[in-house]
Amino acid sequence: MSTWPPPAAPDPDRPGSRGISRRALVLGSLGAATVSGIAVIYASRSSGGATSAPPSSIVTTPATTPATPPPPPTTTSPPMTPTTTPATTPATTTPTATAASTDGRVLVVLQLAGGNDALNTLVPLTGAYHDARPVIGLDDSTLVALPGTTAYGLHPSLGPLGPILAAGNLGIAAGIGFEHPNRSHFASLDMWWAGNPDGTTGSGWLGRWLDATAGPDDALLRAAGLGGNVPALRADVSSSVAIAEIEQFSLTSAGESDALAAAWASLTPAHAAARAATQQIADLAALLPPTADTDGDVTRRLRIAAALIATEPDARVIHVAVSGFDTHANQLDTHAALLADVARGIAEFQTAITASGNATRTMLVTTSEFGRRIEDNGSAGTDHGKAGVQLVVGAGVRALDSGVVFGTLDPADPIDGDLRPVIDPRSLYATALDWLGGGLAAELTDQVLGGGFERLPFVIPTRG
Amino acid sequence: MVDASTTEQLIVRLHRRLGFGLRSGELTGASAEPAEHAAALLDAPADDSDAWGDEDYTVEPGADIGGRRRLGLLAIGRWIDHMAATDAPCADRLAWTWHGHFVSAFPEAKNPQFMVDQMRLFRSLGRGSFTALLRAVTVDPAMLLYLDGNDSTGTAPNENYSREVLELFTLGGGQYTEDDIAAGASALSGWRIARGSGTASFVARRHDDTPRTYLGTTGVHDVDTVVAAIAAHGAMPVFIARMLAREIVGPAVADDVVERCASAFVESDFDLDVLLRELVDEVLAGADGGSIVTAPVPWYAAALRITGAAPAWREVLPHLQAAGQVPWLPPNVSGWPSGGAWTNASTLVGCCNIAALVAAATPDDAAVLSAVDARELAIAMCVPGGWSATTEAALATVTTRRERLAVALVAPEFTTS
Repeated sequence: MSTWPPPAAPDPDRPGSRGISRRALVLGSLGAATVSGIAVIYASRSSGGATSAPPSSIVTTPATTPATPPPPPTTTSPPMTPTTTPATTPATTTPTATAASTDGRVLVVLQLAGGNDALNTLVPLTGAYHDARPVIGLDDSTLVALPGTTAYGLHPSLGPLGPILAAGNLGIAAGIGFEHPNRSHFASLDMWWAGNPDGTTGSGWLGRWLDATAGPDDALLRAAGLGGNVPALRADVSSSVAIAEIEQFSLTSAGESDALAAAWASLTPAHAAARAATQQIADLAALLPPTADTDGDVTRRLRIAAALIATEPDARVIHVAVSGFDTHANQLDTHAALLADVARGIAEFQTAITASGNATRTMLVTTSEFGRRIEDNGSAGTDHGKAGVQLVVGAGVRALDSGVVFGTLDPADPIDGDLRPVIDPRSLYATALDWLGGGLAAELTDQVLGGGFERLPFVIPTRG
Repeated sequence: MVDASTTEQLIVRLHRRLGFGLRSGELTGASAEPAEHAAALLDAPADDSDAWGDEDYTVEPGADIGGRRRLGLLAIGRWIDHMAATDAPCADRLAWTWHGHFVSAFPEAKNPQFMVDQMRLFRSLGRGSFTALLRAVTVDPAMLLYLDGNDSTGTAPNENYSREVLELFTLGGGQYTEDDIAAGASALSGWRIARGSGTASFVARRHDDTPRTYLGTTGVHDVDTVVAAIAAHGAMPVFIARMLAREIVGPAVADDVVERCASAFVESDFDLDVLLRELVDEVLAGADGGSIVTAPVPWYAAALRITGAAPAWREVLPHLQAAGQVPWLPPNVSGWPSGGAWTNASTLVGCCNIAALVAAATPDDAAVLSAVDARELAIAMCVPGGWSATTEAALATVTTRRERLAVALVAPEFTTS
């Protein structure tokens, strides 16, 4: 049984908003590695070939050869066409995966609802960036340095991710989005949740994986939605438990009798499952630290996710939904606070699952329905755009070998004023599901996603 | 499970969809004619006062967030209390529907009075001219704050409202282009809440008056021409008719019902009262779009109405949040989900906890407590078909009448109509 680590001491220098900190976190010992070998999954329409990293106006150190050769510069498949033989297909695959083959791994999907602004999350160190964002552009000197690349820096609020970056356990997919994206939150969310560009599938991408690996005696909390019910978990046969807030997730906290709780549970199967879930969550809640007013939704919900992973060996999929990323106006302070919560939440989460001995069985990926417009909008905010940026975090990530940033965010090569999608979201999903399946699941992954999609290079699914 | 095949079930359905359910005794005591129940709901004399009366809910910009939140939550609680108590529930039921359609949220609007004013707009125009409603909500202070019209200028138009008004509020996806969104944002620029006054006003120097083509209409340059262009778009009547039809007739409403009602809506020059009455007439004539699991807020109002309970709002609120629905706090600009979404674990647990609070706060002499057995309880709760065997067994396992009521309030026979 794990105990929750004490919260990190407050860092008075931790950036909470623009202007508070001008500190750049420098990971000097890691040296610089090239990003010029970035492989992209969509060919750039402007060049007809692989997209290169944006030119950097401040890079002075010549790129050195990375320890491991970078992935091939481009794929042989045309944009958006599923490859028939995924790069990671192992020599032998199980025709039908079973629950046992998933090897006890758990995938946490952190959904940043509203459309996280990619350009102020992963900032390209280019003049084009500052030209496009005279009002909300971030000062280069405040950015968090990345190991192995000087083409980008991270938003200053993401400083707490420094140790994870330095360990190579964080990879960044840059320029991720469906090839024909939609600036509507809802059309775009439908695509991301369903895991297909039509957005019309009745099931969610996680729900289909859960169905494909379902067993007769699955744990009640095999899949959970923290922050509420999401269509990504929608399945035909598998159930998941939606928990808006755990404080209210109890049937007896107000002194109700066990007889009343049992009577409620007997009304419908859904009531019975809800009661059983409340009992399990009550045990889990005892492991959590008291919540402070300053704890954001990401931090609070990832604490619950960590406790669930520590107490439920059969947990497989945890979806964590947080909102507020639709930053149309006065973005600087809002986005700084949101990303500070993301960074703190992920950093504490990694610490917690490491302490409980679950780090090697856990991976976290972020999603968000789109990135935002390249230019700021005059309300000191940004409108809905196309490509975004997502994080892949876990002990199974080997980003120092592959390059921390895969893909590209290039404000000088826009499409309709937006960042150009160069990575299909299903590549992120395929990478996560391969890993979740224990490395023997490429065929299952492709079945769930309706085709073979290039895997992101950070994760070697057969390694634990 | 529940269908409208019996007259009594149809009456219950009308009261749930045009109001907040029945009071004890109203099903057996009043008319047995569904059309008379419908007429009583549609034609009830307006309330002397709405939920908020003469009280001022204004919070000045920059006020302490705790005080603002307390005042806002107080105003929300008063609305639900009014839903439960009013003799003319249709106005608030429609205001609730429009609030879930033309979505604004309290955290962005900040001033509770702006949300009160928007609910009043829905109460007064929710059965009037749709174009008048659309124009009013487009420049409504809470909406200007929620979807950023307040920050939109001619030199830097903000697209947030311009997109959602077409996608979510009037036409639906696929009916417009990105150029339409940009043109709409420019035409709607310049509306701003005047500092101190609390009302929206048009500031010409913040507006781009360039005539543009919008939804195929040329010369669109301001709020009136935007509203006229939307009203002239062929997709609007069916979109609005379908939204209301799902609420009144049911989620699986037949296309021909929607189309008939949309035609009447067009012929009336977009009179929402005509549309509403057409939809009710379809229900009375047998149109059945299936049962609806009552969403947490109207379910809670119905629970208060049937029991006469008055639980402490501060105790109910966290459970309503857990259930996933609090007025003025929608999850996003598309409002609350519908249908099966209300059977997830969090919602069920939240509603069970609320049921316990309602049962504990129900007056001793209420019919729902004095009922001697499950059959009488079904009558007291206006459940016309009686309980299923499963529910009856559940009711039999608890020992007190308040616990029995707490079970009955979340039983499918009460939550669904």
